[in-house]
Amino acid sequence: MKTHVPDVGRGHRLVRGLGSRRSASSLLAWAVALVAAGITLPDIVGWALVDATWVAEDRAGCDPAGACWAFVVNRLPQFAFGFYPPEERWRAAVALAWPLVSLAIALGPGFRRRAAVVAAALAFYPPVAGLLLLGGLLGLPRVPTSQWGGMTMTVFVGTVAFVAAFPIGLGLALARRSSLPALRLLGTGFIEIWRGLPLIAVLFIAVVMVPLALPPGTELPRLVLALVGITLYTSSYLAEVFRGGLQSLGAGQGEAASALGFTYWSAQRYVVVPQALMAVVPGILNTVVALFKDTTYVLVVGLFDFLSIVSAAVADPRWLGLATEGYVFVGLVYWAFCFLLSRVSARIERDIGRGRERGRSA
Amino acid sequence: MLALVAAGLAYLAGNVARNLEASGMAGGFGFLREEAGFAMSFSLIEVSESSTYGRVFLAGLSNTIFIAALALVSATALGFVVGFARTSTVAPVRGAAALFVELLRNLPLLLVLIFIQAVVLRSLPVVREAVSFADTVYLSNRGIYFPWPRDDHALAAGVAVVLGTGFVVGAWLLRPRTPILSSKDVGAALAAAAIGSALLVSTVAFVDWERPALRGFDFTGGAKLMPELAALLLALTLYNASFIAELVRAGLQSVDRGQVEAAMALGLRPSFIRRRIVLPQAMRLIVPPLTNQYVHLIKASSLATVVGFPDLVAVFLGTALNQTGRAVEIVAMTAGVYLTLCLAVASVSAAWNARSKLKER
Repeated sequence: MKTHVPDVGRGHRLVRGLGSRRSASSLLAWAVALVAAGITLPDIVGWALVDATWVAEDRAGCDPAGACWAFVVNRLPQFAFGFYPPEERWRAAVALAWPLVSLAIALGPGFRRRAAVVAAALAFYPPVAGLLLLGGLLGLPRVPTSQWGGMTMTVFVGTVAFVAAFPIGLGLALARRSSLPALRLLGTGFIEIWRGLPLIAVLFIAVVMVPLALPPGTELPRLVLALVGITLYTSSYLAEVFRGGLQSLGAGQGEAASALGFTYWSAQRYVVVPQALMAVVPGILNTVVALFKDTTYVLVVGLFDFLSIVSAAVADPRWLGLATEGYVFVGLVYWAFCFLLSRVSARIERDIGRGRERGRSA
Repeated sequence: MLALVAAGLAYLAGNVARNLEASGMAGGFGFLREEAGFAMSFSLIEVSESSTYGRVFLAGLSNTIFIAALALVSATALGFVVGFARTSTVAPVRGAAALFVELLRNLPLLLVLIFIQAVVLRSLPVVREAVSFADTVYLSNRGIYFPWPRDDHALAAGVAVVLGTGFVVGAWLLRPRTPILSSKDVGAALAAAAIGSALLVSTVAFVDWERPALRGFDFTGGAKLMPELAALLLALTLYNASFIAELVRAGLQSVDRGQVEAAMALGLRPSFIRRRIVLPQAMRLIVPPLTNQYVHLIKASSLATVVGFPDLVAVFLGTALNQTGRAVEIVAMTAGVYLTLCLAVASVSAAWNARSKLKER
């Protein structure tokens, strides 16, 4: 690994120039930091690793001095797959791994037509993974959505909402920049209403209003209702990201394309949208991070995502009083994913900035 | 294409109308005058089982504004402190700030909230063994208990506190702005500070404070900060502060190096340069994204629903909607509230932007 220079920029260096670096307050800060680390670090390491129990049948089998990770180890299949029947778990595993592998391909080393491969993998995900999880055809036993849960639920909800919101968001962004006033008003109103509401309110509204807006007698599982809500919410956020990209492009690209005889749609398809999307890849990734964190809100409509299944497990009488272990585990998983993705996003943003500077100097 | 969209919307609206009719519910806002029949565990205005839905709406609205305003102030304060710490010259300070920011902004807010509620607050002692601070403030897993003026003193104490704080803030605003002191500024500032602190000190000394006291299984007297409110406030503060700190850091680092060098050449003190040269210029870059963060915070205050704090979403969009089934009206009112709050924040920010724009001649 190359040496890491703290990313503190110009402001830091200039502020550093202000005071002498070996001042009394600096020494005091070092002393406080070392003492604090000396007191807390051994405790944390002792609790989390040294005195921790990894294998046990129940709470009583755990050393009370340390963390009882046996709880997490025991419940790991449930945290990953929810109440999915054990003999059918491979289906949930496929639905869980698919988006993660797609993401790894998208962010890993490049190859020819990578974007098309990733786009196809994501576009087919909602119907294929949905049918795979639901079953009831091709000899797969039917598993109702009430048995789905855990990390599979989190990843399924996040991916389906993202894939569904992507085209809607693009359409909204184009509508908001349309030359037709009615379309512009519609796009702006839609975006601002869904962006202005809290996601919890959106979920409540989806659960109540979507059944009202369907033909009488239609019944949908809560998962679908929640998906509709999250999709609408995410699409309005994505729309604003896309709009940023379209605006950064300037009118020249579209005008040049129409001067060459492109129709509106083909100019958007071949000239404007591809460039706008490339410019906002970091923004899209940031939206993915936010979406991944926001999927936890589905617990308010009674779905068992990763966080809420751990919340439920914490109340198990055999493992009572292990809330800390449970939530620390959840935190580690979310933290690792969000930290990684935000780093990738920042790297791409730097690369784009560098590319722009090169383009300008050329 | 427009026709297609319009047709789709008309179809959905038609379904809504048909479904509402089938369930036999008359439309309109008349239900706001009906009795709601449930009480709220916390409210700034009087609410009881016999209150109307309209009053429940107002109580929920005031709770939402209350929690959002508290969290907004504390998240901003903490965020600015951490943001400055991120650009500190002292490595441990910088490191601690970076740890805070990177830890919190990569976790879901809901997890932070549940962790604080289920782990941090639950690890506080039970009421009988409450931690006491000078027998005045008590900390327990059922809430924080603190003294409160007795009924007939509450109003006077409130007015005195508001006035006193006003004078102190005024003194701070009137404080000498330049390194060169002018006697007029100093006199006015000192006078305001003296009046303000006299008011505050006399409030503490002469008002009849009722202290919480342990009787039986709970404290009586004084006032209590509910654990739900404390958890929500803490989670909103910490989470949003981590984002605000990043905005502040980016703003501080964007200020041109020459500005600081020029100030140093003039012999100004480092703390003066940071506060009066760097920060005001950084604010131009900080305020627009800060507004977005405020909007996010206001919306996120609806997580109150999860911990059981009765905010607007919990009591109105939740309980009231369940009881009355007036989906369209309640959804419209709730959406209207959040849109108004967001617009209000946006317009304050726009006004600030217009005022602080670089004046070019």
